Amino acid sequence: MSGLAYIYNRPVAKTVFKATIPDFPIFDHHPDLVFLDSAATTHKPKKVIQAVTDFYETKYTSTGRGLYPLATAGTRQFESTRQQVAQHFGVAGNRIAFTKSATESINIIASGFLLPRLSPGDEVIVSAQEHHANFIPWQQACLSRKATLIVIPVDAQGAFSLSALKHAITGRTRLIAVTHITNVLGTINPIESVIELAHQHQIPVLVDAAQSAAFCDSRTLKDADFLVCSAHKMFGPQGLGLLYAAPQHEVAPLLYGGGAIRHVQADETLLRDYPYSLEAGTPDAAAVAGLNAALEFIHSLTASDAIAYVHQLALQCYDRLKQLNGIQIIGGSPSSSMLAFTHNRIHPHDLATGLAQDHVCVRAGHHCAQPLADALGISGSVRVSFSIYNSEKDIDRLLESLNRVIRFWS
Amino acid sequence: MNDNLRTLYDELIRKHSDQPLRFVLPTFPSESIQAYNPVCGDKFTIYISKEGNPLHQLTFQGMGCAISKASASMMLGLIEGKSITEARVIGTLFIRYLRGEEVTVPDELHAFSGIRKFPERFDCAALPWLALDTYYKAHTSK
Repeated sequence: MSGLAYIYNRPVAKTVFKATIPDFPIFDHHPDLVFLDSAATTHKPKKVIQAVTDFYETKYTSTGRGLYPLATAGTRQFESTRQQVAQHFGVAGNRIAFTKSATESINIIASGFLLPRLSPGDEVIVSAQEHHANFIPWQQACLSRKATLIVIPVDAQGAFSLSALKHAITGRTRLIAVTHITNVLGTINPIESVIELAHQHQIPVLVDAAQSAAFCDSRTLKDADFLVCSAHKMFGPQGLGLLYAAPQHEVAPLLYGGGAIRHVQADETLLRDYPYSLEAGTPDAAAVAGLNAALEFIHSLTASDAIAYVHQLALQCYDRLKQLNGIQIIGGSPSSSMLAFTHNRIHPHDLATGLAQDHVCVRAGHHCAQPLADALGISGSVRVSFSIYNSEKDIDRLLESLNRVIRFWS
Repeated sequence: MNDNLRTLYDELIRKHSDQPLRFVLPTFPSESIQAYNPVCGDKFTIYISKEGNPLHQLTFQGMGCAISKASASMMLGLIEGKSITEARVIGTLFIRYLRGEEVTVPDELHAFSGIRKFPERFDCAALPWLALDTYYKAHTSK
Protein backbone atom coordinates (compact mmCIF):
# COMPACT_ATOMS: atom_id res chain seq x y z
CA MET A 1 0.00 0.00 0.00
CA SER A 2 1.46 3.37 -0.98
CA GLY A 3 1.85 6.16 1.57
CA LEU A 4 -1.27 8.08 0.72
CA ALA A 5 -3.43 4.99 0.38
CA TYR A 6 -2.27 3.94 3.84
CA ILE A 7 -3.31 7.27 5.32
CA TYR A 8 -6.71 7.08 3.66
CA ASN A 9 -7.33 3.73 5.24
CA ARG A 10 -6.25 4.72 8.73
CA PRO A 11 -9.01 4.82 11.37
CA VAL A 12 -9.79 8.21 12.85
CA ALA A 13 -12.30 9.46 15.41
CA LYS A 14 -15.59 10.19 13.70
CA THR A 15 -16.09 13.49 15.42
CA VAL A 16 -12.59 14.83 15.02
CA PHE A 17 -13.50 17.64 12.63
CA LYS A 18 -16.85 18.76 13.96
CA ALA A 19 -15.11 21.70 15.58
CA THR A 20 -14.09 23.04 12.20
CA ILE A 21 -17.64 23.65 10.99
CA PRO A 22 -17.96 27.00 12.83
CA ASP A 23 -14.82 28.08 10.98
CA PHE A 24 -16.78 28.23 7.71
CA PRO A 25 -19.15 31.21 7.50
CA ILE A 26 -21.04 29.79 4.53
CA PHE A 27 -22.84 27.47 6.96
CA ASP A 28 -23.94 30.44 9.09
CA HIS A 29 -25.62 31.95 6.06
CA HIS A 30 -27.01 28.63 4.80
CA PRO A 31 -27.66 26.48 7.87
CA ASP A 32 -29.46 23.87 5.76
CA LEU A 33 -26.62 23.53 3.31
CA VAL A 34 -25.32 20.04 2.69
CA PHE A 35 -22.30 20.71 0.55
CA LEU A 36 -21.08 17.54 -1.12
CA ASP A 37 -19.22 19.16 -3.99
CA SER A 38 -15.85 19.89 -2.43
CA ALA A 39 -14.02 18.17 -5.28
CA ALA A 40 -15.19 21.12 -7.37
CA THR A 41 -14.22 23.72 -4.80
CA THR A 42 -13.87 23.88 -1.04
CA HIS A 43 -15.58 26.43 1.14
CA LYS A 44 -13.46 29.06 2.82
CA PRO A 45 -12.54 29.26 6.49
CA LYS A 46 -13.31 32.55 8.16
CA LYS A 47 -9.61 33.32 8.53
CA VAL A 48 -9.10 33.02 4.77
CA ILE A 49 -11.93 35.45 4.06
CA GLN A 50 -10.58 37.78 6.74
CA ALA A 51 -7.08 37.59 5.27
CA VAL A 52 -8.35 38.69 1.87
CA THR A 53 -10.36 41.54 3.43
CA ASP A 54 -7.46 42.49 5.66
CA PHE A 55 -5.15 42.64 2.67
CA TYR A 56 -7.39 45.13 0.90
CA GLU A 57 -8.06 47.14 4.05
CA THR A 58 -4.60 47.33 5.55
CA LYS A 59 -1.94 46.03 3.17
CA TYR A 60 -3.14 46.78 -0.33
CA THR A 61 -0.56 48.14 -2.71
CA SER A 62 1.37 47.15 -5.81
CA THR A 63 3.10 43.96 -4.83
CA GLY A 64 6.65 43.54 -6.05
CA ARG A 65 6.92 47.03 -7.48
CA GLY A 66 6.54 49.91 -5.01
CA LEU A 67 9.55 51.32 -3.15
CA TYR A 68 7.65 52.34 -0.02
CA PRO A 69 7.07 50.48 3.23
CA LEU A 70 3.51 49.41 2.44
CA ALA A 71 4.63 47.81 -0.81
CA THR A 72 7.61 46.21 0.89
CA ALA A 73 5.36 44.63 3.51
CA GLY A 74 2.98 43.36 0.83
CA THR A 75 5.82 41.91 -1.19
CA ARG A 76 7.24 40.26 1.90
CA GLN A 77 3.96 38.49 2.62
CA PHE A 78 3.64 37.50 -1.03
CA GLU A 79 7.10 35.95 -1.06
CA SER A 80 6.61 34.41 2.34
CA THR A 81 3.54 32.60 1.00
CA ARG A 82 5.63 31.26 -1.85
CA GLN A 83 7.97 29.74 0.72
CA GLN A 84 5.08 28.26 2.68
CA VAL A 85 3.71 26.64 -0.47
CA ALA A 86 7.14 25.17 -1.13
CA GLN A 87 7.34 23.80 2.42
CA HIS A 88 3.86 22.34 2.04
CA PHE A 89 5.02 20.34 -0.96
CA GLY A 90 8.54 19.71 0.32
CA VAL A 91 10.20 21.48 -2.60
CA ALA A 92 12.45 24.50 -3.12
CA GLY A 93 10.78 27.89 -2.64
CA ASN A 94 12.28 29.46 -5.73
CA ARG A 95 10.54 26.87 -7.90
CA ILE A 96 6.95 27.81 -7.00
CA ALA A 97 5.17 30.08 -9.48
CA PHE A 98 1.81 31.73 -8.90
CA THR A 99 -0.57 31.36 -11.83
CA LYS A 100 -4.27 31.98 -12.21
CA SER A 101 -5.31 28.30 -12.02
CA ALA A 102 -4.10 24.72 -12.22
CA THR A 103 -5.32 24.82 -15.81
CA GLU A 104 -3.03 27.73 -16.59
CA SER A 105 -0.15 25.96 -14.86
CA ILE A 106 -0.57 22.96 -17.15
CA ASN A 107 -0.85 25.17 -20.21
CA ILE A 108 2.39 26.90 -19.22
CA ILE A 109 4.19 23.56 -19.14
CA ALA A 110 2.59 22.45 -22.39
CA SER A 111 3.64 25.60 -24.23
CA GLY A 112 6.75 26.63 -22.33
CA PHE A 113 8.38 23.27 -21.70
CA LEU A 114 6.90 20.58 -23.94
CA LEU A 115 6.40 22.36 -27.25
CA PRO A 116 10.03 23.44 -27.73
CA ARG A 117 11.02 19.80 -27.16
CA LEU A 118 8.27 18.14 -29.19
CA SER A 119 8.88 16.94 -32.75
CA PRO A 120 6.73 15.07 -35.26
CA GLY A 121 6.43 11.44 -34.20
CA ASP A 122 7.09 12.15 -30.53
CA GLU A 123 4.63 10.96 -27.91
CA VAL A 124 2.99 12.30 -24.78
CA ILE A 125 1.27 9.96 -22.35
CA VAL A 126 -1.84 10.75 -20.29
CA SER A 127 -4.37 8.48 -18.65
CA ALA A 128 -8.04 8.19 -19.60
CA GLN A 129 -8.83 9.42 -16.08
CA GLU A 130 -7.63 12.95 -16.65
CA HIS A 131 -9.58 16.12 -16.11
CA HIS A 132 -9.89 18.04 -19.37
CA ALA A 133 -7.36 20.53 -17.99
CA ASN A 134 -4.75 17.77 -17.95
CA PHE A 135 -5.79 16.37 -21.31
CA ILE A 136 -6.57 19.08 -23.84
CA PRO A 137 -3.30 21.07 -23.50
CA TRP A 138 -1.30 17.90 -24.32
CA GLN A 139 -3.69 16.92 -27.09
CA GLN A 140 -3.39 20.34 -28.70
CA ALA A 141 0.38 20.42 -28.30
CA CYS A 142 0.61 17.03 -30.03
CA LEU A 143 -1.72 18.11 -32.82
CA SER A 144 0.32 21.23 -33.45
CA ARG A 145 3.57 19.23 -33.76
CA LYS A 146 2.20 16.11 -35.48
CA ALA A 147 3.07 14.19 -32.34
CA THR A 148 0.89 11.49 -30.78
CA LEU A 149 -1.10 11.64 -27.59
CA ILE A 150 -1.11 8.19 -25.99
CA VAL A 151 -4.12 7.69 -23.69
CA ILE A 152 -3.58 4.86 -21.22
CA PRO A 153 -6.81 2.90 -20.81
CA VAL A 154 -8.39 2.38 -17.41
CA ASP A 155 -9.78 -0.89 -16.12
CA ALA A 156 -13.50 -1.56 -15.59
CA GLN A 157 -13.31 0.20 -12.22
CA GLY A 158 -11.72 3.28 -13.76
CA ALA A 159 -8.37 2.51 -12.15
CA PHE A 160 -4.93 3.45 -13.47
CA SER A 161 -2.81 0.66 -14.91
CA LEU A 162 0.90 0.83 -14.21
CA SER A 163 1.48 -2.06 -16.59
CA ALA A 164 -0.34 -0.15 -19.34
CA LEU A 165 1.99 2.75 -18.68
CA LYS A 166 5.00 0.46 -18.93
CA HIS A 167 3.79 -0.74 -22.31
CA ALA A 168 3.05 2.78 -23.51
CA ILE A 169 6.50 4.21 -22.81
CA THR A 170 8.74 4.31 -25.86
CA GLY A 171 11.91 6.07 -26.90
CA ARG A 172 9.69 8.84 -28.30
CA THR A 173 7.87 9.59 -25.04
CA ARG A 174 8.55 13.22 -24.16
CA LEU A 175 6.30 13.70 -21.12
CA ILE A 176 3.86 11.84 -18.89
CA ALA A 177 0.97 13.78 -17.34
CA VAL A 178 -1.04 12.00 -14.65
CA THR A 179 -3.44 13.03 -11.94
CA HIS A 180 -2.65 12.11 -8.35
CA ILE A 181 -6.26 11.65 -7.22
CA THR A 182 -8.88 11.51 -9.96
CA ASN A 183 -11.62 14.11 -9.90
CA VAL A 184 -14.53 11.77 -10.70
CA LEU A 185 -13.97 8.58 -8.74
CA GLY A 186 -11.34 9.77 -6.28
CA THR A 187 -9.01 6.98 -7.33
CA ILE A 188 -5.53 7.34 -5.83
CA ASN A 189 -2.97 6.72 -8.51
CA PRO A 190 0.40 5.07 -7.72
CA ILE A 191 2.14 8.34 -8.40
CA GLU A 192 5.47 7.41 -6.80
CA SER A 193 5.69 4.35 -9.04
CA VAL A 194 4.72 6.41 -12.08
CA ILE A 195 7.48 8.91 -11.35
CA GLU A 196 10.03 6.18 -10.65
CA LEU A 197 9.18 4.35 -13.86
CA ALA A 198 9.26 7.53 -15.93
CA HIS A 199 12.58 8.60 -14.47
CA GLN A 200 14.10 5.24 -15.32
CA HIS A 201 13.47 6.32 -18.91
CA GLN A 202 14.47 9.98 -18.31
CA ILE A 203 10.93 11.10 -19.01
CA PRO A 204 9.58 14.10 -17.07
CA VAL A 205 6.29 13.74 -15.20
CA LEU A 206 3.63 16.36 -14.55
CA VAL A 207 1.39 15.56 -11.59
CA ASP A 208 -2.04 17.14 -11.41
CA ALA A 209 -2.43 17.45 -7.65
CA ALA A 210 -5.64 19.49 -7.70
CA GLN A 211 -7.54 16.91 -5.64
CA SER A 212 -4.71 15.97 -3.31
CA ALA A 213 -2.88 19.24 -2.67
CA ALA A 214 -4.65 20.30 0.52
CA PHE A 215 -3.66 17.30 2.57
CA CYS A 216 -0.86 15.86 0.50
CA ASP A 217 2.00 13.80 1.75
CA SER A 218 4.87 15.87 0.41
CA ARG A 219 7.10 12.80 0.25
CA THR A 220 4.77 11.40 -2.39
CA LEU A 221 5.06 14.34 -4.73
CA LYS A 222 8.53 15.79 -4.19
CA ASP A 223 10.10 13.87 -7.07
CA ALA A 224 7.61 15.09 -9.65
CA ASP A 225 9.10 17.23 -12.40
CA PHE A 226 6.05 19.45 -12.48
CA LEU A 227 3.29 19.81 -9.94
CA VAL A 228 0.10 21.81 -10.40
CA CYS A 229 -2.89 22.62 -8.21
CA SER A 230 -5.34 25.40 -7.51
CA ALA A 231 -5.79 27.36 -4.28
CA HIS A 232 -9.58 27.19 -4.31
CA LYS A 233 -9.57 23.42 -3.85
CA MET A 234 -7.42 23.81 -0.73
CA PHE A 235 -9.61 26.29 1.21
CA GLY A 236 -8.00 29.27 -0.52
CA PRO A 237 -9.39 31.87 -2.93
CA GLN A 238 -10.42 31.28 -6.52
CA GLY A 239 -8.27 32.68 -9.31
CA LEU A 240 -4.96 31.43 -7.98
CA GLY A 241 -3.04 28.43 -9.25
CA LEU A 242 0.30 26.96 -8.27
CA LEU A 243 3.05 25.55 -10.41
CA TYR A 244 6.16 23.75 -9.28
CA ALA A 245 8.88 23.00 -11.82
CA ALA A 246 11.93 21.02 -10.78
CA PRO A 247 15.21 23.02 -10.88
CA GLN A 248 16.63 21.11 -13.84
CA HIS A 249 13.76 22.18 -16.11
CA GLU A 250 13.61 25.48 -17.97
CA VAL A 251 10.13 26.79 -18.64
CA ALA A 252 9.38 29.61 -21.06
CA PRO A 253 6.59 32.04 -20.15
CA LEU A 254 3.07 31.88 -21.50
CA LEU A 255 2.65 35.61 -20.97
CA TYR A 256 5.11 38.44 -21.47
CA GLY A 257 4.95 41.81 -19.75
CA GLY A 258 5.83 43.85 -16.71
CA GLY A 259 7.12 42.25 -13.54
CA ALA A 260 8.78 39.37 -15.38
CA ILE A 261 11.66 41.25 -16.95
CA ARG A 262 15.20 42.15 -16.06
CA HIS A 263 15.91 44.46 -18.97
CA VAL A 264 14.01 45.63 -22.04
CA GLN A 265 15.33 47.36 -25.10
CA ALA A 266 14.06 47.76 -28.65
CA ASP A 267 15.42 44.52 -30.03
CA GLU A 268 15.44 42.18 -27.06
CA THR A 269 14.18 41.51 -23.55
CA LEU A 270 16.05 39.81 -20.77
CA LEU A 271 13.69 37.92 -18.48
CA ARG A 272 14.03 37.44 -14.73
CA ASP A 273 14.72 33.99 -13.41
CA TYR A 274 12.01 31.41 -12.82
CA PRO A 275 9.44 31.74 -11.23
CA TYR A 276 9.24 35.51 -11.79
CA SER A 277 9.68 35.01 -15.53
CA LEU A 278 6.25 33.34 -15.55
CA GLU A 279 4.48 36.00 -13.49
CA ALA A 280 4.07 38.88 -15.93
CA GLY A 281 1.33 41.33 -15.00
CA THR A 282 0.01 42.43 -11.64
CA PRO A 283 -0.50 39.34 -9.48
CA ASP A 284 -3.63 38.60 -7.46
CA ALA A 285 -1.88 39.43 -4.21
CA ALA A 286 -5.14 39.33 -2.26
CA ALA A 287 -5.65 35.73 -3.33
CA VAL A 288 -2.09 34.95 -2.28
CA ALA A 289 -2.83 36.50 1.12
CA GLY A 290 -5.87 34.23 1.31
CA LEU A 291 -3.77 31.23 0.39
CA ASN A 292 -1.35 32.15 3.16
CA ALA A 293 -4.22 31.89 5.64
CA ALA A 294 -5.49 28.71 3.99
CA LEU A 295 -2.14 27.05 4.48
CA GLU A 296 -2.12 28.10 8.13
CA PHE A 297 -5.57 26.58 8.46
CA ILE A 298 -4.51 23.35 6.78
CA HIS A 299 -1.42 23.08 8.93
CA SER A 300 -3.48 23.62 12.07
CA LEU A 301 -5.06 20.25 11.30
CA THR A 302 -3.41 16.87 11.18
CA ALA A 303 -3.28 15.94 7.52
CA SER A 304 -3.48 12.21 8.09
CA ASP A 305 -6.56 12.67 10.30
CA ALA A 306 -8.20 14.90 7.72
CA ILE A 307 -7.81 12.52 4.82
CA ALA A 308 -8.78 9.51 6.92
CA TYR A 309 -11.87 11.38 8.11
CA VAL A 310 -13.16 12.28 4.65
CA HIS A 311 -12.39 8.77 3.46
CA GLN A 312 -14.51 7.33 6.25
CA LEU A 313 -17.37 9.58 5.24
CA ALA A 314 -17.05 8.39 1.65
CA LEU A 315 -17.02 4.77 2.79
CA GLN A 316 -20.11 5.25 4.96
CA CYS A 317 -21.84 6.94 2.06
CA TYR A 318 -20.87 4.06 -0.21
CA ASP A 319 -22.20 1.46 2.23
CA ARG A 320 -25.57 3.19 2.41
CA LEU A 321 -25.91 4.14 -1.24
CA LYS A 322 -25.28 0.64 -2.49
CA GLN A 323 -28.34 -0.57 -0.58
CA LEU A 324 -30.65 1.60 -2.67
CA ASN A 325 -32.42 -0.02 -5.58
CA GLY A 326 -31.35 1.29 -8.94
CA ILE A 327 -28.12 2.91 -7.73
CA GLN A 328 -24.92 1.81 -9.35
CA ILE A 329 -21.71 3.07 -7.78
CA ILE A 330 -18.97 3.52 -10.32
CA GLY A 331 -15.57 2.12 -9.50
CA GLY A 332 -16.60 0.27 -6.36
CA SER A 333 -15.55 1.20 -2.85
CA PRO A 334 -14.14 4.74 -2.67
CA SER A 335 -10.44 5.13 -2.04
CA SER A 336 -10.49 8.80 -1.07
CA SER A 337 -13.01 11.56 -0.35
CA MET A 338 -15.47 11.04 -3.18
CA LEU A 339 -17.58 8.59 -5.12
CA ALA A 340 -19.75 8.70 -8.21
CA PHE A 341 -22.96 6.88 -9.01
CA THR A 342 -25.74 6.55 -11.54
CA HIS A 343 -29.37 5.47 -11.28
CA ASN A 344 -30.78 2.99 -13.73
CA ARG A 345 -33.72 5.22 -14.70
CA ILE A 346 -33.06 8.75 -13.48
CA HIS A 347 -30.61 10.99 -15.30
CA PRO A 348 -27.81 12.50 -13.15
CA HIS A 349 -29.06 16.05 -13.77
CA ASP A 350 -32.56 15.14 -12.68
CA LEU A 351 -31.16 13.52 -9.55
CA ALA A 352 -29.04 16.59 -8.79
CA THR A 353 -31.96 18.96 -9.33
CA GLY A 354 -34.07 16.90 -6.96
CA LEU A 355 -31.36 16.85 -4.31
CA ALA A 356 -30.89 20.60 -4.66
CA GLN A 357 -34.50 21.08 -3.52
CA ASP A 358 -33.35 19.73 -0.17
CA HIS A 359 -30.23 21.95 -0.20
CA VAL A 360 -28.03 18.96 -0.96
CA CYS A 361 -25.34 20.07 -3.40
CA VAL A 362 -23.74 17.43 -5.60
CA ARG A 363 -22.13 17.57 -9.02
CA ALA A 364 -23.81 15.93 -12.02
CA GLY A 365 -22.47 15.43 -15.51
CA HIS A 366 -19.18 14.23 -16.90
CA HIS A 367 -17.17 16.30 -14.42
CA CYS A 368 -14.82 17.66 -17.11
CA ALA A 369 -13.56 14.15 -17.74
CA GLN A 370 -15.28 12.96 -20.91
CA PRO A 371 -12.57 10.44 -21.84
CA LEU A 372 -13.21 8.67 -18.52
CA ALA A 373 -16.98 8.74 -19.01
CA ASP A 374 -16.46 7.26 -22.48
CA ALA A 375 -14.13 4.59 -21.10
CA LEU A 376 -16.70 3.65 -18.46
CA GLY A 377 -19.53 3.68 -21.00
CA ILE A 378 -21.59 6.33 -19.22
CA SER A 379 -22.75 9.77 -20.33
CA GLY A 380 -22.49 11.19 -16.84
CA SER A 381 -22.82 10.51 -13.14
CA VAL A 382 -23.60 12.09 -9.81
CA ARG A 383 -20.49 12.82 -7.78
CA VAL A 384 -20.55 13.13 -4.01
CA SER A 385 -17.39 14.58 -2.51
CA PHE A 386 -16.60 15.28 1.12
CA SER A 387 -14.45 17.72 3.02
CA ILE A 388 -13.65 18.26 6.65
CA TYR A 389 -16.78 20.35 7.25
CA ASN A 390 -19.01 17.40 6.39
CA SER A 391 -20.35 14.90 8.88
CA GLU A 392 -22.47 11.75 9.02
CA LYS A 393 -25.53 14.00 9.22
CA ASP A 394 -24.81 15.12 5.69
CA ILE A 395 -24.94 11.51 4.55
CA ASP A 396 -28.27 11.12 6.36
CA ARG A 397 -29.60 14.16 4.53
CA LEU A 398 -28.28 12.92 1.20
CA LEU A 399 -29.96 9.55 1.62
CA GLU A 400 -33.26 11.03 2.82
CA SER A 401 -33.33 13.37 -0.14
CA LEU A 402 -32.25 10.73 -2.60
CA ASN A 403 -35.06 8.45 -1.46
CA ARG A 404 -37.53 11.29 -1.98
CA VAL A 405 -36.20 11.98 -5.49
CA ILE A 406 -36.38 8.31 -6.43
CA ARG A 407 -39.95 8.13 -5.13
CA PHE A 408 -40.84 11.21 -7.16
CA TRP A 409 -39.67 9.52 -10.34
CA SER A 410 -41.24 6.13 -9.62
CA MET B 1 -39.55 19.44 -2.43
CA ASN B 2 -42.14 17.68 -4.51
CA ASP B 3 -44.12 20.85 -5.31
CA ASN B 4 -41.05 22.47 -6.78
CA LEU B 5 -40.17 19.35 -8.69
CA ARG B 6 -43.71 19.05 -10.00
CA THR B 7 -43.44 22.61 -11.25
CA LEU B 8 -40.26 21.79 -13.10
CA TYR B 9 -41.18 18.31 -14.23
CA ASP B 10 -44.69 18.91 -15.51
CA GLU B 11 -46.71 15.77 -16.16
CA LEU B 12 -46.35 16.25 -19.90
CA ILE B 13 -42.56 16.48 -19.58
CA ARG B 14 -42.48 13.28 -17.56
CA LYS B 15 -44.70 11.56 -20.10
CA HIS B 16 -42.48 12.58 -23.01
CA SER B 17 -39.28 11.68 -21.16
CA ASP B 18 -40.62 8.26 -20.15
CA GLN B 19 -41.99 7.50 -23.59
CA PRO B 20 -40.49 9.90 -26.09
CA LEU B 21 -42.19 10.08 -29.46
CA ARG B 22 -40.25 9.39 -32.65
CA PHE B 23 -37.39 8.03 -30.53
CA VAL B 24 -36.13 5.63 -33.19
CA LEU B 25 -33.46 5.49 -35.83
CA PRO B 26 -34.66 6.79 -39.19
CA THR B 27 -35.78 4.39 -41.91
CA PHE B 28 -35.66 7.14 -44.51
CA PRO B 29 -32.82 9.08 -46.15
CA SER B 30 -32.05 11.73 -43.59
CA GLU B 31 -29.91 14.63 -42.55
CA SER B 32 -28.68 14.50 -38.97
CA ILE B 33 -28.46 17.38 -36.54
CA GLN B 34 -26.31 17.05 -33.44
CA ALA B 35 -27.71 18.50 -30.23
CA TYR B 36 -24.95 18.43 -27.64
CA ASN B 37 -24.58 20.07 -24.26
CA PRO B 38 -20.86 20.12 -23.43
CA VAL B 39 -21.52 21.03 -19.81
CA CYS B 40 -23.37 17.83 -18.94
CA GLY B 41 -22.68 15.56 -21.90
CA ASP B 42 -26.30 15.24 -23.05
CA LYS B 43 -26.27 14.29 -26.69
CA PHE B 44 -29.06 13.76 -29.18
CA THR B 45 -29.08 13.23 -32.91
CA ILE B 46 -32.12 14.58 -34.69
CA TYR B 47 -32.89 13.02 -38.06
CA ILE B 48 -34.82 15.00 -40.64
CA SER B 49 -35.90 13.71 -44.02
CA LYS B 50 -33.72 14.90 -46.86
CA GLU B 51 -36.87 15.72 -48.75
CA GLY B 52 -36.66 19.21 -47.43
CA ASN B 53 -39.40 21.69 -46.88
CA PRO B 54 -41.94 21.37 -45.26
CA LEU B 55 -40.38 19.19 -42.59
CA HIS B 56 -41.62 15.66 -42.36
CA GLN B 57 -40.35 12.29 -41.20
CA LEU B 58 -38.54 13.35 -38.06
CA THR B 59 -36.94 11.07 -35.48
CA PHE B 60 -34.29 11.34 -32.80
CA GLN B 61 -31.93 9.23 -30.71
CA GLY B 62 -29.47 9.82 -27.91
CA MET B 63 -29.08 10.34 -24.18
CA GLY B 64 -30.15 13.19 -21.97
CA CYS B 65 -32.07 14.29 -18.93
CA ALA B 66 -35.85 14.24 -18.65
CA ILE B 67 -36.15 17.85 -19.74
CA SER B 68 -33.90 17.72 -22.79
CA LYS B 69 -35.44 14.45 -23.93
CA ALA B 70 -38.99 15.74 -23.50
CA SER B 71 -38.07 18.95 -25.26
CA ALA B 72 -36.72 17.04 -28.26
CA SER B 73 -39.75 14.76 -28.32
CA MET B 74 -42.19 17.67 -28.25
CA MET B 75 -40.17 19.68 -30.74
CA LEU B 76 -40.38 17.02 -33.40
CA GLY B 77 -44.14 16.77 -32.99
CA LEU B 78 -44.55 20.52 -33.19
CA ILE B 79 -42.42 21.15 -36.25
CA GLU B 80 -43.59 18.22 -38.33
CA GLY B 81 -45.40 19.53 -41.37
CA LYS B 82 -44.10 23.05 -40.79
CA SER B 83 -41.73 24.93 -43.06
CA ILE B 84 -38.18 25.43 -41.83
CA THR B 85 -38.93 29.10 -41.29
CA GLU B 86 -42.04 28.31 -39.25
CA ALA B 87 -40.10 25.78 -37.17
CA ARG B 88 -37.39 28.31 -36.40
CA VAL B 89 -39.97 30.93 -35.43
CA ILE B 90 -41.52 28.52 -32.92
CA GLY B 91 -38.04 27.78 -31.59
CA THR B 92 -37.16 31.46 -31.22
CA LEU B 93 -40.40 32.15 -29.37
CA PHE B 94 -39.84 29.15 -27.12
CA ILE B 95 -36.36 30.35 -26.17
CA ARG B 96 -37.81 33.77 -25.32
CA TYR B 97 -40.57 32.07 -23.34
CA LEU B 98 -38.00 30.08 -21.34
CA ARG B 99 -36.23 33.35 -20.56
CA GLY B 100 -39.39 34.68 -19.01
CA GLU B 101 -40.72 36.88 -21.82
CA GLU B 102 -44.47 37.13 -22.40
CA VAL B 103 -44.73 35.53 -25.82
CA THR B 104 -47.19 33.13 -27.36
CA VAL B 105 -46.01 29.56 -27.78
CA PRO B 106 -47.89 26.37 -28.64
CA ASP B 107 -49.91 25.20 -25.63
CA GLU B 108 -47.91 22.09 -24.88
CA LEU B 109 -44.70 24.10 -24.50
CA HIS B 110 -46.22 25.69 -21.40
CA ALA B 111 -45.19 22.43 -19.74
CA PHE B 112 -41.74 24.02 -19.57
CA SER B 113 -42.90 27.05 -17.58
CA GLY B 114 -41.06 25.68 -14.54
CA ILE B 115 -37.75 26.35 -16.26
CA ARG B 116 -38.28 30.03 -15.48
CA LYS B 117 -37.81 29.13 -11.81
CA PHE B 118 -34.90 26.82 -12.55
CA PRO B 119 -32.67 28.87 -14.87
CA GLU B 120 -29.88 26.33 -14.40
CA ARG B 121 -32.01 23.95 -16.51
CA PHE B 122 -32.54 26.43 -19.37
CA ASP B 123 -29.89 24.73 -21.49
CA CYS B 124 -31.66 21.38 -21.11
CA ALA B 125 -34.97 22.66 -22.48
CA ALA B 126 -33.38 24.80 -25.17
CA LEU B 127 -30.92 22.14 -26.38
CA PRO B 128 -32.80 20.61 -29.36
CA TRP B 129 -34.31 23.91 -30.45
CA LEU B 130 -30.98 25.71 -30.48
CA ALA B 131 -29.39 22.80 -32.36
CA LEU B 132 -32.12 22.99 -34.99
CA ASP B 133 -31.72 26.75 -35.34
CA THR B 134 -27.93 26.55 -35.53
CA TYR B 135 -28.16 23.85 -38.19
CA TYR B 136 -30.48 25.80 -40.46
CA LYS B 137 -28.69 29.08 -39.85
CA ALA B 138 -25.48 27.43 -41.06
CA HIS B 139 -27.18 25.83 -44.04
CA THR B 140 -29.16 28.84 -45.22
CA SER B 141 -26.10 31.09 -45.06
CA LYS B 142 -24.15 28.86 -47.45
